[in-house]
Amino acid sequence: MTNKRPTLKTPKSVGRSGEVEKSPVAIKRKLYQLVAREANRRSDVNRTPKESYLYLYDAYLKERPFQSIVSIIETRLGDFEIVGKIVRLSTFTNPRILVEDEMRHGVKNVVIVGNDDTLARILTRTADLDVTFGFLPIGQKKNYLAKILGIPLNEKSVEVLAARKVEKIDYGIINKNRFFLSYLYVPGARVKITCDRSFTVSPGRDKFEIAVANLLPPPFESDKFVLKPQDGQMEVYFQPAERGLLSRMVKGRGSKITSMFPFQHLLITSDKIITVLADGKETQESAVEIEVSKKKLKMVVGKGRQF
Amino acid sequence: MSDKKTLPGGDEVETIVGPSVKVEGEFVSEGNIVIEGQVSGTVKTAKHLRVEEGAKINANVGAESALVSGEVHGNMKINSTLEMTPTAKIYGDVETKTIIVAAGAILHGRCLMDESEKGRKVKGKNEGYDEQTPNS
Repeated sequence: MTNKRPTLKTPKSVGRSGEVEKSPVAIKRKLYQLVAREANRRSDVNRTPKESYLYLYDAYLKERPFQSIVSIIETRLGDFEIVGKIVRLSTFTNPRILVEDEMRHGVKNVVIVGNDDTLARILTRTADLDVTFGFLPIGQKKNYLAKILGIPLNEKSVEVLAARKVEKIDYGIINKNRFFLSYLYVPGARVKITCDRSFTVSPGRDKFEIAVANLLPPPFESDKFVLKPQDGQMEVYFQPAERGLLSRMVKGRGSKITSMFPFQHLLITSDKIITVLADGKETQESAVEIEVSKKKLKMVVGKGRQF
Repeated sequence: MSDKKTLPGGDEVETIVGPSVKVEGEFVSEGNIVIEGQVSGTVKTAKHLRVEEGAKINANVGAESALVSGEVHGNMKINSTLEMTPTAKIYGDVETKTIIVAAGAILHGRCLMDESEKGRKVKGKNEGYDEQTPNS
């Protein structure tokens, strides 16, 4: 190679071919480029806080009764300057791919707009991602988690989101491929349970209802449950499943007492396929392995949270 | 939760073994334990242990305090108080600081009571029951 470097010190005045551009048109073009670059930089700075929020709207929010609430919420989000990109969920939306893609574009906060089902649908796939989750509960039905998290319903929830009190919450990992936040429930089965790989619990010949509670109590004997979603462990509860009248008369009510064990790792095994209900989603499994992920989920909560 | 079971000390129950449940293995807990079913292996807790009437333990037991109404086959090492109700049956050696035995309770085994804190700690380190097998 021969030394054909341009002799000028400032490369700004050097064209692509290496020759010096001196014409007024070239200077004007450079000036325009500089102005445009500066304008882009400024708009990026202004856009960053807006783009760091991603709002995931449930499909039911398109219905008439919820449109006005959503409209008010969007206005209030504007007031608090926490508006962001809105994505309306459909049946085929894969929440994990969606959120991961938006994270690559700078999203740091994912706000789920809907009800318990919406929250479960998103978090069962995305709980391990490094973003802060917010929740705007809309409507009166299926919004029990909002009460636990201390988030008021509808437009008042925006104030909690804007206050941005973030708590780290435990969640469960089921069979190393999905997550649950509220509870897991096995309706009635003959199972063997291994807690923390150190002791096994055999409920005998009877069928047992099994539940693991984190944020919501499972659907039996709910007044006995302890909800501590930040202690790094979960509790497994089990009690004999409902029996026939004759069996109840013979065995009495004594054996209906709920057993409870705290754990960090749990393995439920059965000879037969068992039905597992986790965060509203029903699956059929031969074995269920649950691992507690301690305080990994960052969630915006209200002052009135119940934990 | 208001309806949770509470122990005499007022602490909340952390682990409950129900009447029709059988536990096998090293059963260790940091909180209170209530046993109404069957346990075999090892039972250890840093807090209170309650063995209800009808419960059966085939294990060496270690706890801060204990109230026994059921059956224990194994050695018991209780740091503070062991209370045996009229239905209690213990087949094994007992080491504790204070023991309360109700009329009708059965204790088959040696009973060692060392009131000195230092002596108890040294024995706890060197002569603990943990490595022994039940009914040894």
